[in-house]
Amino acid sequence: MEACKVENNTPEGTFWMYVFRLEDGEYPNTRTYFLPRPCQHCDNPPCAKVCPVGARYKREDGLVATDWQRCIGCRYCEVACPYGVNFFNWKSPKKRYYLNWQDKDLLPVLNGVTPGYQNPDLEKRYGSEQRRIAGGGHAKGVIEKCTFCVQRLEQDLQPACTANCPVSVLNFGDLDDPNSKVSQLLKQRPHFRLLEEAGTHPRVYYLGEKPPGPETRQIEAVKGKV
Amino acid sequence: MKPLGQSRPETEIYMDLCEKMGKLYGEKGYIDQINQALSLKEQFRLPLDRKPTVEQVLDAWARSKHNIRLEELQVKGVVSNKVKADKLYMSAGAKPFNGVRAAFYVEAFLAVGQEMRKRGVAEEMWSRFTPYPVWTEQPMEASPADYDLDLMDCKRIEHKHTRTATNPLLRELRPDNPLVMNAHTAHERGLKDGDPVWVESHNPSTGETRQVRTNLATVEGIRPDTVLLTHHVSRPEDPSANGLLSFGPGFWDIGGGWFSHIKVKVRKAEAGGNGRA
Repeated sequence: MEACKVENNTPEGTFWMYVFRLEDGEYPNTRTYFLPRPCQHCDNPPCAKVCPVGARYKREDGLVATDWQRCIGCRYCEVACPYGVNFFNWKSPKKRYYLNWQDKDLLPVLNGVTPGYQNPDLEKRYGSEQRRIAGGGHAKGVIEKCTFCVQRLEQDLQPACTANCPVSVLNFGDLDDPNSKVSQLLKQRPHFRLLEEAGTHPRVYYLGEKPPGPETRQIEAVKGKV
Repeated sequence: MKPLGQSRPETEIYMDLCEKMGKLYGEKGYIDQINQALSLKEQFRLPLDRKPTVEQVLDAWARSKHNIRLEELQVKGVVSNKVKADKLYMSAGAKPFNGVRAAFYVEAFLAVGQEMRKRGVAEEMWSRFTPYPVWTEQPMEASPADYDLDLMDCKRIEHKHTRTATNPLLRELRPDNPLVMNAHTAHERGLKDGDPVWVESHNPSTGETRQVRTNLATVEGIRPDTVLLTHHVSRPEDPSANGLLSFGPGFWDIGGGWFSHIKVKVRKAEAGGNGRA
């Protein structure tokens, strides 16, 4: 979650990658586990179908992208998505969210320099369509979500969450390539997808026996716009 | 630390202090102590007649210990060496009987106790230093019966103890510090997830009570007789397990620590606000 936030400069309370802390069963037969939830980059994305201006679209390589310059902020995608991965920018991130750089104690230390970090790659155009899909400056009135770090993918880098996971839980690759690590993992291990019954054909697979069910509880939730 | 952003490395402060005290240079001076403490090889030893910078001290250590210059180490970030397990994990020092038997009679404890007695330390203190292990009742067992929950502290996965508690990004992941309680225990007491609660501890030696106010988080994965509150807080007024601990007579042991095992009771609080009483 933090690697995503730092790479994509997302505003406070916005988690393009959210990790659920889940619990099944009753004491003493309980199981606590974690479920990371990025955008599922569906092959049949309901969010793209309802976008009236084509800002949300499916790229040829499989990414579900959001052109933040085209988005008109209707939030239809937010309603259509069954995974809750869309975040609407209700305000411009004019001030730094995490530190007040105008704090009187900080000013003499900064000596007029504002160290606020902003990833310049987020403003660039990507893909054959050359559209602005990497989040940009999180402009007011537009929707945003996980991009699988398109700005990194186009430099042959892994998404920030995958690259920084200390226990290598996350794997990213080409599912169309039968020899890729992700294809091999799916061949070897039981796996599931979230809300398969919704017919969205998500492209995020979870290695494991079964998805969380009605008996599963979220515990100690991180208070974001989930 | 104020002034913000202008704190100095402690070694630099020590060197300044030692220089003013006339203890910096020469044999047995502070620089000599640094050479010995860092076990610097002969060719990397710091000259005893010049005050080094902290960078020079670290550079000498990096060269001597890891055969790498400090500036290379700063770029590389890590140095890896193969270390045998018995070097890596703490051993109990010299092992009597080649480690086949553990020492049961520790004469050093007896000597310490006798020395304390000789120096006029209260009997309640020195009498605890016995060469044989002696069963001691945990102090919290003497608390009234309504203090019926064991308090447990832990490190939250989001934080590195209180060191990161002021990091705004990590605080976003864990902004609050809830009291974690078994869901059935909470239900029995008329409490539910998210309720504001008072947690109260009791010091049976003095009768003193301490209270911390926080919110409740209910889970199944904790014993019904135990509650959990961590110490990762960024402001003194934030709820912390530390605010419930007692110190002083009855709460220390001869290992140099103290009995931090305490019992608490939990009651619903009025809405609004967190902190300590």
